[in-house]
Amino acid sequence: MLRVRGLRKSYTTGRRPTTALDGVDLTVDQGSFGAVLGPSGSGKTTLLRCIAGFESPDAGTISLAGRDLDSPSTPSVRPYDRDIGVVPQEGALFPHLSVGRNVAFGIADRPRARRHERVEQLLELMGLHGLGDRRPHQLSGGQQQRVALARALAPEPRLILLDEPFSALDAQLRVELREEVRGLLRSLGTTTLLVTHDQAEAMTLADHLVVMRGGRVVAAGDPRQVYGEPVDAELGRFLGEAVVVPGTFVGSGAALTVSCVLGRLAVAAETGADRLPGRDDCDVLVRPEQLRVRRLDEPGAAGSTASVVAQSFYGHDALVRVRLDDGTRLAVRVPGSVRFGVGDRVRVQVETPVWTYAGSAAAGGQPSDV
Amino acid sequence: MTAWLAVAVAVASLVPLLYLFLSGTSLADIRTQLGYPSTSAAVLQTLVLTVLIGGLTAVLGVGAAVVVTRTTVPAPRLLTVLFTVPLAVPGFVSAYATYSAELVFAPQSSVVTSLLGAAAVMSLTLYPYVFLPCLIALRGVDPALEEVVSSLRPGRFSAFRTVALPALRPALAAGLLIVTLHVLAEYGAMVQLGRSTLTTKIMAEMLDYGDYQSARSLSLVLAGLSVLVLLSTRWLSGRSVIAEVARGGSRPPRRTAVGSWRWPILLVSLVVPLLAVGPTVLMTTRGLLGSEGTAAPAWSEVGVALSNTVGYALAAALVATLCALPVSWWVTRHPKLLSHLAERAVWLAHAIPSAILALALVFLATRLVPSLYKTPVVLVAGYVILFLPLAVANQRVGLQSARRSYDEVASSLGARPVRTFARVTLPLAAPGFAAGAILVALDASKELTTTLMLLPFNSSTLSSKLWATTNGESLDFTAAAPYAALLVLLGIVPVYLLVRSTLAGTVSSRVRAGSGPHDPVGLSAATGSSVEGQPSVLALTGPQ
Repeated sequence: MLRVRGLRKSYTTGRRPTTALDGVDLTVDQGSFGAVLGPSGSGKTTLLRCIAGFESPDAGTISLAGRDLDSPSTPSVRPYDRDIGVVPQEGALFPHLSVGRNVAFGIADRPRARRHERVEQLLELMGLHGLGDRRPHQLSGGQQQRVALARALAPEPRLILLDEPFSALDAQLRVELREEVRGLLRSLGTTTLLVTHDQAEAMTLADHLVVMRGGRVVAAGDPRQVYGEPVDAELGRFLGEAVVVPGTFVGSGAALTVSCVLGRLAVAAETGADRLPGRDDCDVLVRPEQLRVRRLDEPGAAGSTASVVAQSFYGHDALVRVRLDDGTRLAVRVPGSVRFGVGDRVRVQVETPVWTYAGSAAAGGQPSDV
Repeated sequence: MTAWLAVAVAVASLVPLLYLFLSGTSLADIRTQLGYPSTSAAVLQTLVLTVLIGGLTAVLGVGAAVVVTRTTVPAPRLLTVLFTVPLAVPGFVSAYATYSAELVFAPQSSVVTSLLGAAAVMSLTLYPYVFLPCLIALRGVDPALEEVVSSLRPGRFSAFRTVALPALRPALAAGLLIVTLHVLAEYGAMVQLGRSTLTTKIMAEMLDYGDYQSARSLSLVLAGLSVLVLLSTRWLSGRSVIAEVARGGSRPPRRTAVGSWRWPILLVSLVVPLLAVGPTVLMTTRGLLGSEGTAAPAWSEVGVALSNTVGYALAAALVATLCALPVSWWVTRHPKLLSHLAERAVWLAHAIPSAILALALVFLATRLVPSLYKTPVVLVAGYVILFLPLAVANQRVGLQSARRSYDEVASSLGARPVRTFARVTLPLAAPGFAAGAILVALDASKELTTTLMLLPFNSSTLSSKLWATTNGESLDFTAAAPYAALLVLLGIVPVYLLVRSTLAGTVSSRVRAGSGPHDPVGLSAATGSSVEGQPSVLALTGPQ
């Protein structure tokens, strides 16, 4: 459906050219929900703007449903001929037009009655029934985003691009609206590409997740797989809370384990294909949910000893922050009902196999977020 | 396409000046001119007046801004309006009225025509140019910054000194730039106040002696001074940029409790605008009411002058709007070095005193197209070149409120560029376009210097008729009263726009900035101004 191949784009700001896109490949299947996740400056917005036709790429091809939009051989298709709907970050509703006229903007060529019918149908669908005569500024942030989506959907484009559409909303509304939008787009069978820096948003919404960093795609696939099998330690840390500690390989083949400050651990996969010959050192990625923490005196307590530094309570669960006796800090996810006091002595045990990466060796056990 | 049109407009606005200075100026002649004692006296007088008026307006403007924003003086909003009102009165009207008032009520004093008196009269009409940017700068200072400073450093004024003053510096520089350019360009008021400056000398050479060569040599000197002023205010505004880290709503700044001092402060504050507009209001009313005396105004002449003025002003507004469009479009939609240069070229023509521009147009017309000389075409061309930046600046504000993302969304919804412009861009930018056109029309109708030089034979405008009443010895303002009244009425419109957007104000506009603000006159841009960024405080007011 949407195919992006080898897309390149650089800007010249000041004296230095900056590469925003450095050979990006991307595919979104018909009717599926793709998400591009990346920190700011990763090039994700440029990618979206290229697909929409607001920027023209320096090299590479973009095609939609078999039609080349950007390719070396043909002139770039103008945005108004692309058949792609866009929902910008802040909605960008035309402030001088009523809600109804905003929604109708893209279907001006249809007969009046059909146009009305379509607008009413979309407003109904978005839960905006009866608001057609309002002005955008009379709507709440969530309503504005719904109108923006309705406006983009009205001409029934082949593809909808969402540019961080929920980021300006408050936390509660954000979660609600994105669930709703996902259900709606799925039921309509619309092909969608979302661009966001919020990993929770990307992972909950996407069928297909693409992670970008520095203008390149670093991982792509099913969100579970991208999260569960991070291709490098940095990605692991970006996708959720995680700690990287130095470790040393022990044994080989099926009996391969890694020895680190948390003890001797089973290895899920060794992604260090470039592991230096003759060296056994590596980075070990540990996530809070892989850890189990128990009081020192609890029966069956095993693992490294540590002291509790702090506990952050989130309601449904909590993060216990501990310091191992060698000084390494870790976060452990526990049910919300479990309580520790600061200074409690505990044992921390890794319960599931860990991912290891060919070490930068210097990457110490100091995660940025503890 | 837009780019070529914009470049054409920019070049066209500089052509008269280039032609004036490049076609046969001789250094020898300039040297001879400077050798005359009257010339060097005029240069000295110009410099002294510039310094005096600059100092006085800085004190008045900053003082007024501090009183309004930083003290618990009663009715700060009303005071803001009153402090801005002097802008409604053209300088030459105010000077003429003040001089007449002195002749009527204190004939022996001759304070007004002394050097200090003249500087004071000029300062009273010009200080709002300093007051407004300083007001906005002081209001925009985040009180949290000042609180942090005062928590770190004891002392009553340390917070003001370290936070507010640096924020004030660029605003003061922008204000002083406008004041100084006005002083250099002022003709009518200087003549009324008995001051002989470079501009009055240039005008005398042209109007009284018809000596265009001398006028040209003097113009070059005057243009040099203007460039010097442009450069020095750049230096004054400094390089420091106060990064705005704060997000979300910011609070209005803290006010110093002045206790029982607030009434004396209010009184002194009221005296300033009263001195500035009092004489004009008094003399105009007196002239209109007591007109059965010697020089009763001929109302039919007033009618003719008014209709001429309106006609020229509308023509100028229309042409300026059309010419400004490619420039403002190019600079808002494709901000890059070249487009900024085009915008700056437009401003440069504006910064050069209008007498020089008028002279340049006389040269161009008489040499190249003599048939156009002294026709409305040249007069309107002069107005357009002079006030084009007002149109550009206000269109820019309008086009910025029609954000680019609206265009993009419209095009993604299948709208071709023409439809996008007609349905989205134009409706959103229209208030800015209208404001620009209105301001051009108003300033053109008040303009004196250009009008005197380029007015077609047997034609008249409000300002030329008012000026004509200053010839002869009556000088009791009776004949001038109807013209003065009309000119002041015209002047009130931009002041109203300015005050409204100032009061709607910086703080709230920053809060709304996230949700598509409408800032019709765009004052929020005014504080960080340098010559090239020309914000619309400057945009509202051309040299009169």
